[in-house]
Amino acid sequence: MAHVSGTANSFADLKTSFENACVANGWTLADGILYKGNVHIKFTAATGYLRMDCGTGKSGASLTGGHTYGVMMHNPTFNPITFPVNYEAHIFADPDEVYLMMNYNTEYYQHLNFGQSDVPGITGSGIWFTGHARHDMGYTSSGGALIYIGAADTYLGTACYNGSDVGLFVNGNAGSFQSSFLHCTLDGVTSWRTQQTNSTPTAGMLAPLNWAASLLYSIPNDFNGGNLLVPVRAIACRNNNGLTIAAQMKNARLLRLDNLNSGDIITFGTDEWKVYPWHRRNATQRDGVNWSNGATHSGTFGFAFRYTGV
Amino acid sequence: MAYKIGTITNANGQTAYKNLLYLIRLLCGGFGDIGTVGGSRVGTGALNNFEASPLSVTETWTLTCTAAAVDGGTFSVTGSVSGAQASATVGTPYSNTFVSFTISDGATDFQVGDSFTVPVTQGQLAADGAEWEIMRYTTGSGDHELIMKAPGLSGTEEIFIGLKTYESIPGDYYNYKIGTFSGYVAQNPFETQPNAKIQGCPAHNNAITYFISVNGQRIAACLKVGTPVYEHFYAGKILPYAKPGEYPYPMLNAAMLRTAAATRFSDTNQQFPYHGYRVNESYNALMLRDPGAVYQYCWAHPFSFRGASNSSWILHGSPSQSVMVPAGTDYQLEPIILGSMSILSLWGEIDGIYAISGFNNGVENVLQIGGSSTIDQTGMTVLEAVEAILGVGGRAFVVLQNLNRTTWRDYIAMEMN
Repeated sequence: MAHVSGTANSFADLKTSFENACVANGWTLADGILYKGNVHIKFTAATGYLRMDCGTGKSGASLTGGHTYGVMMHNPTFNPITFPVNYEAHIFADPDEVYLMMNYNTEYYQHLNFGQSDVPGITGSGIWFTGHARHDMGYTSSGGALIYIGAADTYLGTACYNGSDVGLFVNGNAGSFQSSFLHCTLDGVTSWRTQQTNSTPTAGMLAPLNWAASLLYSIPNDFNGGNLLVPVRAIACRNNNGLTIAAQMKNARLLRLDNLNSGDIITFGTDEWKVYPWHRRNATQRDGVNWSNGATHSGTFGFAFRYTGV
Repeated sequence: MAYKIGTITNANGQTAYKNLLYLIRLLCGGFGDIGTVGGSRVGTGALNNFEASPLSVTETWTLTCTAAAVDGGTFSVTGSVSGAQASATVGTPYSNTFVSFTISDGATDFQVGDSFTVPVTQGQLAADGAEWEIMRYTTGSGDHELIMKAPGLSGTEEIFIGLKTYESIPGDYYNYKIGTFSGYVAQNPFETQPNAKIQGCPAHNNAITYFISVNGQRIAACLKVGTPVYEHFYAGKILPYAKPGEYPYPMLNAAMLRTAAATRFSDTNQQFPYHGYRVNESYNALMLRDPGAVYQYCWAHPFSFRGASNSSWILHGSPSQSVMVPAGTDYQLEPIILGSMSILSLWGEIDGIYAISGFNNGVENVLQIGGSSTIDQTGMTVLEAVEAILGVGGRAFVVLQNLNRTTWRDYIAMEMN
């Protein structure tokens, strides 16, 4: 377990720093590909983005078994990043889970993540990767700077029509640019799965965040202000409307930030967690803003990563 | 933590459900388990009503006739650990700190040297220092009552829980009132104990197969009766999402009937309580005492959303929309989280009861999670499977269904430990 933080003057600088942090914590970098076991990650840095692709293997400098899509942090044209940015990497093993959070322009956040599920019985590789946006999302348009969130006690999640999906399996059953992916074998099919856009479960896809709608809608508790850490899950849609938890992150959670600041460290028992907004905290529009307006914030929806720093 | 799995019948002049109430008293009270009575005797008298108190330890008691008498006699009383205690007289109720009993006279008098041996195993809750205090236990020809005070998981709490039988021969029902209270008043009847919440759970006047899990703060039970159907109740605290000072008494009274209704086990309107209010708003009997001391209905993740009973994305929703299925043969348990219907709040989790998929599953299956080896349960009873799993350090869960229902969402897993 490691917590690494620093600053970066460009996406290329961030790429190098992050790769070095991973190598220092058990990962191997060869031919420009970071790997451990069968989890293979390739970063591509450019002026406007840091892209991450994932595969189950490598051949020279190329990924094999990769997904068609990558994910990215990006520099939205309509809300540009002022470098340098701050970054924090939370790196865990057994199971491997790696979370990279970038903080810029004081209160904005984007992230990239990857790891391998240890849920028994799903077979296949269990590799997962997610990011703030899918690599081909149009970040140079005005919509590319926006987050669309639908939130009620019966549905929840981002709607990534032309905005950022946000990643970490928080899409809410709408949009076209989902940026959360999992590789597994269920119902006899080995494939990369992504969160689906249909209203009923479709075998071979991943379920939207809706399963947690009432949980995240109900917190913080009115009666005591208490929070709840809701699991981050990739839930596989199976045949005949079945749902199976295919990944459940050991070191990441979902929560609400109404009573917390971005970057706070909270304690539950002996565990410490560092909390971040999905993108930017806004307590006034705490449920975010849905399609078609969107907003450059994510309400009070947040992530918590297990904190191992000092 | 304690559990009991078995079948109880009409015996000792009592119907099965009254005998089960006695068993619950022993289990919750941390009384010792009594093994098979041995010894050798010429006299034909009997050892009756042998009970090992919550202070008893695991040992064998030997009762030996030291003085014969016409229609009587004297027995020494010695525990293999506790040592010699005061002697017992035939025909006179006897008790010491550890055990109580009555030796009755028979047609043939006892002779010097006649003996009874009684193995006692320390009560599970007593071994944990979590035994409940028995505040009231009344028997007789009418309804039987049991009111207890549990110490909580901290050992310093006062949690009041009661069961009372009620029955009708012409109505052919033999049920329990499930009571949760905020205190105990000796002069008050069961129904008017402080802040009483009373619901109903049908049982039977014939054999009952029971699955009971108890710890310092609650009792969860499932009774297999009749045709059969599976009747459930839970009484005691949940695991609250709050500090003790914020929510000191999160009492759950969860049963099959909202009142002590004249309802037979065969009534199919009943629902087990764990679905929460949303799934069956007319019959659900899951009531949680909120921080304001008012019992409220709750919605229950993962069986419903706060605002909807059915949706494509409820984890254990309608099978026609969405429901969890295992990964291969690995079942995924989900805690049952109770949320408020009236304000935005999650109260906490039910203690020891989990949602489990009914896909490729069956009632009375035993789920193993963890342990140094996987138990081959072939040919084992439920109890044997549980004991074997616990024996290898695993967690054991008994799969139990909702009354007579068998759809994928109609099962829970009760942890036995």
